[in-house]
Amino acid sequence: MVGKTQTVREKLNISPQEFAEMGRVGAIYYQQGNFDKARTIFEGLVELDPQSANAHSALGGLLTLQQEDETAIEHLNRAIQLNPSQIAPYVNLGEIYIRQQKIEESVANLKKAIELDPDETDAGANRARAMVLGIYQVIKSDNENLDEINLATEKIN
Amino acid sequence: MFGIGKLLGNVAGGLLEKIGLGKIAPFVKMGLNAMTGNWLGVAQDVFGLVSKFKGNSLDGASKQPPLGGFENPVKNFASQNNPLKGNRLADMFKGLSDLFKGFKALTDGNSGNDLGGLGKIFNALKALTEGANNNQLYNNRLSISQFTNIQA
Repeated sequence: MVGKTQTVREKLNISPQEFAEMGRVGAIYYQQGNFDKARTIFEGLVELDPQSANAHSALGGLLTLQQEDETAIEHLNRAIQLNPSQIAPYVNLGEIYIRQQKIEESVANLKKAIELDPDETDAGANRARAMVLGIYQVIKSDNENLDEINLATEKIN
Repeated sequence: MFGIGKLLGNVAGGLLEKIGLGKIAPFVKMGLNAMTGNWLGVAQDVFGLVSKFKGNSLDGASKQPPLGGFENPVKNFASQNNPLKGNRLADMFKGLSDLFKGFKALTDGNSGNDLGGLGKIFNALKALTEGANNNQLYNNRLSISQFTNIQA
């Protein structure tokens, strides 16, 4: 759309702080359940700065909620590409892949989210933990002979 | 030390429903049944992860898909002064309008031009400006933002 070296955000002299504040307004709308407004803002932020991992992550998260999975995956993967240490995109990919019944891919992403939050303080990573527990429960209930497999369960008592 | 029974009790007690994931079990079941890859590896990963849970964290699980950095003001925005005042948004509109005109002049007659991106930015700025007059939004003191200064 514009030159490779300058984003629209830069052309409009929008500072990183202003950009972050715009994102926070979108996040407030999201938390209040006004998803149309939040989406409008996040889509605009992605266009303003396609190099923003936060913008792609936020739009991907909202699209996860709205179950527009394929578009969500694109933004979440882009967010990870731009900033591999963000937790949220992994959590949301984990959720989408459960919906798509791709359990191996789901667990791989949930595992990354959990490993990025060893202190169990991140709400998103704790959502990932809840999903892993849900998967654990299904595996256990469907497989009576699991005790015969070495599953590193020594701490589980 | 924790008990897996307690963690599973959380699940049985409606933890997944509370965070909007109450219907994942059938998808997990179908996905596991259809797996052609490394089922044992997946099971080992899941059990290994659960075995390391410290517990007591699940009540704080995000109730919606998390957004990432925009939800966390501490990491991204240290200043106490909100930079998005009404005049600043007006400046952005003007700059965008100029950019739009210039871009349109350059690409008119070109069937491959893409003004949709600028249109999305315009809509976003419009939503932000509307938000500037939304007392409910700014009075959300428990929210993640310092929006009390935006009302011009």
